[in-house]
Amino acid sequence: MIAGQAVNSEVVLVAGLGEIQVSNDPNHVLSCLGLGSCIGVSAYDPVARVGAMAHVVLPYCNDPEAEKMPVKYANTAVTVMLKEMEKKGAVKKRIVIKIAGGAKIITTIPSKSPLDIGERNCEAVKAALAEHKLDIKSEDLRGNHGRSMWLYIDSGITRVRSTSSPIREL
Amino acid sequence: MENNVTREFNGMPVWDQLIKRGMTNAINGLSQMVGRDFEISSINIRQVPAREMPSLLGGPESMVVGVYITFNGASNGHILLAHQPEFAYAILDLLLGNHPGTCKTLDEMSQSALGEMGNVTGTFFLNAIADSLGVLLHPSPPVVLLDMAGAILDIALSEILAERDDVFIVETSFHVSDRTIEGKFLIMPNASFMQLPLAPSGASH
Repeated sequence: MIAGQAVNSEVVLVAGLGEIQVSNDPNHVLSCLGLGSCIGVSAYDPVARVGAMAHVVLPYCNDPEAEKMPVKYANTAVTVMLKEMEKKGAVKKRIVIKIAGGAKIITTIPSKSPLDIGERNCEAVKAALAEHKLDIKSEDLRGNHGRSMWLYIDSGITRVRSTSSPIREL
Repeated sequence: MENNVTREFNGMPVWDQLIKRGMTNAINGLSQMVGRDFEISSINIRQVPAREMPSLLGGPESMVVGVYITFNGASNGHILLAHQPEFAYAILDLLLGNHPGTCKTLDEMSQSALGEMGNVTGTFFLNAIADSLGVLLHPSPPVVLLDMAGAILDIALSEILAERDDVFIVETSFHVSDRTIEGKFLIMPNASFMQLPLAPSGASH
């Protein structure tokens, strides 16, 4: 799927590396495609029907004030995502979070080493969500395969597909 | 940092020549190993926004067979030799002396053969650069991957994007004359690559 490509009557908006997509249009499907060590964060307010998808690349940003792409980092992406959703009427306590990605594509990288960016991203995204008191409803993390995920704004359903398994609801 | 790299590179045809020499050397190495004459379709040296990187390999969800190598020494960076799976299998049939259409999966022997092919190609490129500049560039052992293009590129991009928001790449497309095999050879150096001294090659900044 490509950004803006129509699938039936739906419009798919892709969050590229370090980007966020936010929408309250029921025709929109938000997506993160080809996630490896990156993490897709899907957020949805079922009352306001506002959703967001962030494509997180790295765990921590040391200087958020100077950062041009805050969604690139876990610790700043969650803050940006919440602000953008609230602008469209979302309420934080209603937001449902689902996350996918954080794989270790090169299996020979030692687990828990600094080179294991996927694992570091998993920990950083969870820490950032916890800091904002956002619970994770479901997740599909780690492993050693790529993933894609989609958030359907009309229903709030999040789906995930990996290299090794077919599409399923998360 | 990325602005400096772009500005400096655009003003130095000597770098353009050097990289093209390295690429020609790499594709010659590939031809020697596979036993077919590969031709360079195009070489693009440019700065690409991070979000556009997966489109170089057919889009983030495209399945790709990639041979991934890093290099370090006088400079650091990432090398990816990438093929659509059907082209990778066609190369393997040539490498392993099979009838065309025999190879359909990546077993241990296939991965070893592809890894060696990536090793030869990457080393030929690095040697051409290193010899011209009088520096040392060391390749890592190759890793063979079959996955979504986006997932494979994440390995290099997570490191590059920690330094900057755009990616400086050397993108080479190549094929055999009858187009039964095509591939991409991506060099993604860190910013320090453009700071390598040019003096030993006889050129100057």
